[in-house]
Amino acid sequence: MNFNIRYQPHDHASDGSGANQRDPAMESLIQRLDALGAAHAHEAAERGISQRVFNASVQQLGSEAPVVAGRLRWQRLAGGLAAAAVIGMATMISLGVFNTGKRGTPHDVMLASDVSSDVSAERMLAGLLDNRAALESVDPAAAEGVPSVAVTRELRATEVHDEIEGLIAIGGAR
Amino acid sequence: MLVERYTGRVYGVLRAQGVDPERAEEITQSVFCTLAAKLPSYVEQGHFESWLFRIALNRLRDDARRRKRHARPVGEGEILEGLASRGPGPADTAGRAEPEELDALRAALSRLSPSDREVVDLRHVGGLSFKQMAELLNEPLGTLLARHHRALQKLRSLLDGTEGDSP
Repeated sequence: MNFNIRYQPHDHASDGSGANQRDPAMESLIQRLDALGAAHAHEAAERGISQRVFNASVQQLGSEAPVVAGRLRWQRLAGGLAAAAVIGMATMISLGVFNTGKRGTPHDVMLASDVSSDVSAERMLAGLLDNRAALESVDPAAAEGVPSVAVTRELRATEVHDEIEGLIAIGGAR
Repeated sequence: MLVERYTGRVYGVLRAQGVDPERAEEITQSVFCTLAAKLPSYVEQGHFESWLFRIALNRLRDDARRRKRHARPVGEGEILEGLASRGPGPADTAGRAEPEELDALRAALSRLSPSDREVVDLRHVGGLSFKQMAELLNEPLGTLLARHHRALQKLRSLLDGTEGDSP
C-alpha cells in the first residue's frame, strides 16, 4: 500500500525560530525533532491508517447525506405549513372571523358598545363625534359641558348606521 | 487527496503529544470525519492547515476530558504489563535517527509543559509554519516565535541533563 507520504524537513535557516545553522547543538536538536516527525509519519504509513481514515470519512459523508436530506424535507414541510397558516389567517381575517367589532360592521360596533336601542346608539355616536349639537338633539341634559363645534346636524335613529360607517371609512371610531 | 496528504501529520502530532497508536488513529479518523462533514461550508482563505490542526487539537482535548471522566486507578502490575506488551515504536522503523536518540527526545518532550510541547510538536511534527501556528493558537507571531525558541532551549537543557545522566 503506497500512500505517498512525504515528509519535508524544515528550512531552519530561514524559519525565524531563533535557531540557526551556526548553533550545532540546536541544529542537532531540530534534526532530531524532524526525525521524530518523520518517524510518526512513517508509522502512520506502515499502519495503513490513511485508507481507514478515508473509508471512515466516506462513511461519514454517506451517513450525513440522508440526515441532511431528511432535515431539508422537514424544513420544506415546516415552511409549507407556515405559509398555509399565514394564508389561512389572512383568509379568516378577510372573512371577519376575528372581528372584534371596533372596526367592523355598524352592527358589530353597536353590539360591542352594548347598545340596546337606536336612541342609545345615537347618544353613543354623538359622544364619539364630540358634537354638542348632535348630543343636544338626542339628550340635552348630557350635552351640558360638552364644547360646541361648528358643524351641527340632527341625528336620527335611521341615520346612525350611515354615520358609523362614515366614521369607519375615515379612520374608525375614536 | 486531503486524507492522503494530512493523515500522517495529524497522526504524528497526536502521537507526539503522547497519545498511543490506537487512540491516535481513532482521533485522526474523528478529525477527518469532522472535516468531511464541515468541508462543504468551509470557505478557503488560506487557513486550511490551521483549521485542520485546530480540529485535531480540539478532538485531542475532548478525548483527554472523556478519558479523565472515565479514569480508574491502575496498579503497578498493569503498568508493567502495558510496557512489556508495547510494540516497537516509530523510532525503530524510521531509519533516520538512532532509536536511543529518539527515545531520549521523547522523554525530554514529555517533561516540557503542555503549551511548550504543543508548540514544538505543531512545528516539527505537524510541519506547520509559524504563521499558521499563530493563527491556530491565536497568538501574535512574535510571541509564538519567542515561545518556540524558549521551548527549544528548555528541551535542549533537558536533553543535556538526560544525556549527562547516561553512562
